[in-house]
Amino acid sequence: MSAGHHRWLLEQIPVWEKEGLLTPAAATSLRERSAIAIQKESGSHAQALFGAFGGLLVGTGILVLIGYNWDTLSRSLRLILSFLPLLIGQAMAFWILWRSRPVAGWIKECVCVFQFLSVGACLAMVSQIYQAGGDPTDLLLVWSLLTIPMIWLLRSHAAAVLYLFTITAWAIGSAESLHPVLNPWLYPVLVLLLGGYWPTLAWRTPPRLPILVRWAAAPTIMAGLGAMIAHSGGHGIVIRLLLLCAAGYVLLPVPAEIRAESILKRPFSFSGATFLICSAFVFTFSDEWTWLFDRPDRTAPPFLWWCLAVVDLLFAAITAAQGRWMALAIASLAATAQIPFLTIVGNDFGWIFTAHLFLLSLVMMLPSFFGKRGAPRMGALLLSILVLCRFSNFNVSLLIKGLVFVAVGAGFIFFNIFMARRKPAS
Amino acid sequence: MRPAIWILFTVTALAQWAVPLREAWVLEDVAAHGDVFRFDCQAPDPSDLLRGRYLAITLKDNGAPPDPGFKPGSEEEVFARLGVDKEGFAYFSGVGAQPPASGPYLRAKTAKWWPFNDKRVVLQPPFDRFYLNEQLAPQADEWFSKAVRDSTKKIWVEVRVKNGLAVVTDLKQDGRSFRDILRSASP
Repeated sequence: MSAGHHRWLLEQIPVWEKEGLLTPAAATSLRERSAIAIQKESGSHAQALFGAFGGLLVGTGILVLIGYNWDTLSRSLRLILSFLPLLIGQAMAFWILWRSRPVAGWIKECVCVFQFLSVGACLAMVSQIYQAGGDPTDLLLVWSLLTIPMIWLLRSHAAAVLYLFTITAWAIGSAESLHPVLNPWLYPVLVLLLGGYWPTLAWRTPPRLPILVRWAAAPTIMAGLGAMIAHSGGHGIVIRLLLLCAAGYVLLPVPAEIRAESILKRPFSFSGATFLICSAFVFTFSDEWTWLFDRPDRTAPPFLWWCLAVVDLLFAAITAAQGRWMALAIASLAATAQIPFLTIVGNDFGWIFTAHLFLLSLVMMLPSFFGKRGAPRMGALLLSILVLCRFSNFNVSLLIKGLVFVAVGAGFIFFNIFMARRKPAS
Repeated sequence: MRPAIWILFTVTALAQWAVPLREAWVLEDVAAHGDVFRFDCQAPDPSDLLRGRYLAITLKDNGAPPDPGFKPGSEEEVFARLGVDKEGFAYFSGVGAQPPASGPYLRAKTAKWWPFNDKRVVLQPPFDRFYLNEQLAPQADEWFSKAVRDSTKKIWVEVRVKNGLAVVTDLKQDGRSFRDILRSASP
């Protein structure tokens, strides 16, 4: 049980005690047990986070010291100094692996983050000593490849996050280059390499990746995929693929207990849904639609498009079987963005997204009126934003615009009060 | 402890040493034994996130005629032959897809935008930075911006070249290292 589960349990105990489900003695022992568990878990998380932060600060400090450039020292002495942090990092990693007893999580985090940064520092210093020009993007690739095995061995979450950011920065940098050393299409392989750090992923009921890693993975993977496509395609294809990727995030088949968690604990669902809805709002404006879509793409639907489309369809089937209609409704925004593939370019499709968002807001609001689970406030919010967006297109006086804003705001407040007074849906 | 872990640790640790050491070895060889070339240049003073402040070296002439029938695209790797003019400054005498059979050359990339200009291939030379001490950088920048405007004096970047690789060794004005000039100028 996580600290969150224990907190929930602590909230329920007085209610159950009142209802006679728990005896006072059982309630007391449950309270004590949950309090200890919360304290223990929060303490170890904070320790690990501070350990990683310490390693990050020391490693960054070394990078900054290198940036100072000790050019008064001889070349050989500077070379020795550049390898010193690397040696210290490796020695500490060796010590952790050598010990028969496992070390505290925060030590592992601290050492692995320091080791990660010491490799980058060494590469940067050699480059600085010999005045080598070169693209920093190539340095990022070499850096990440040299550090990934150490992340596997020490299983550091913070270093895994740094790795994700490094490979994503490499993919974006390579996408900007016309002839990169390695094609940014290597990005998925680099992401898969991270799997070695969490080998239990292959097990039947693996422990979940920490929320920090999941929060880092959700946006970086999407950005990396975007960079891959941007390397060979125009705006339109990039945005379409990103929308498919976001839909995959929303439709990701996860067990029921995970789905029951708060959306903030499900970064893939959260970032996917946010990206889809925000993009859809942007596409309701004609200018933005035209800029992104109203031009022939340089490429036909690429291989990745088909892969993502197939995966999304598979996920959609599972989602439908699970009865997650809200997720399907949100993910359908990605399907709408693919329409210009099938029709003639040169049309303004902004109105399609207006209609789609309107339907989505109804899908979110209406079930709760029929005693089913919905997201009425979210639906009302989408509807309000949609009305304001459309109204901003009209060339009317500020007086009328102001009145519309007030009316929509008041409507939203009344709807909120109305929903609060209604019986909760079963 | 499983042997696989130690094998992986040893291989990784060795690779982490081998990659920067190999780079240092190759560049040290160029810096110690490469032929010296002087390139007429101009430079401002930006900063690199990882490697600190540097003078961005821009060669006055970074173009060269291509070999017959050779038309490289943007950012393509090419081999630029080096020549020396009457004043002793290096210049790119030709550009080809293969390294020349004899004579010094540089491995370079063509420019990202407009790699062809007036029937000449525009190059991005492999040396475009001169890293400086943080305290020295502002003085060097000030000196450099004044010096490049002074048409009576020549500024050049001294580069050692070997097997297509280049290492920048110094920045000079009329034969004097900029460090000596700054040292003598400071009170």
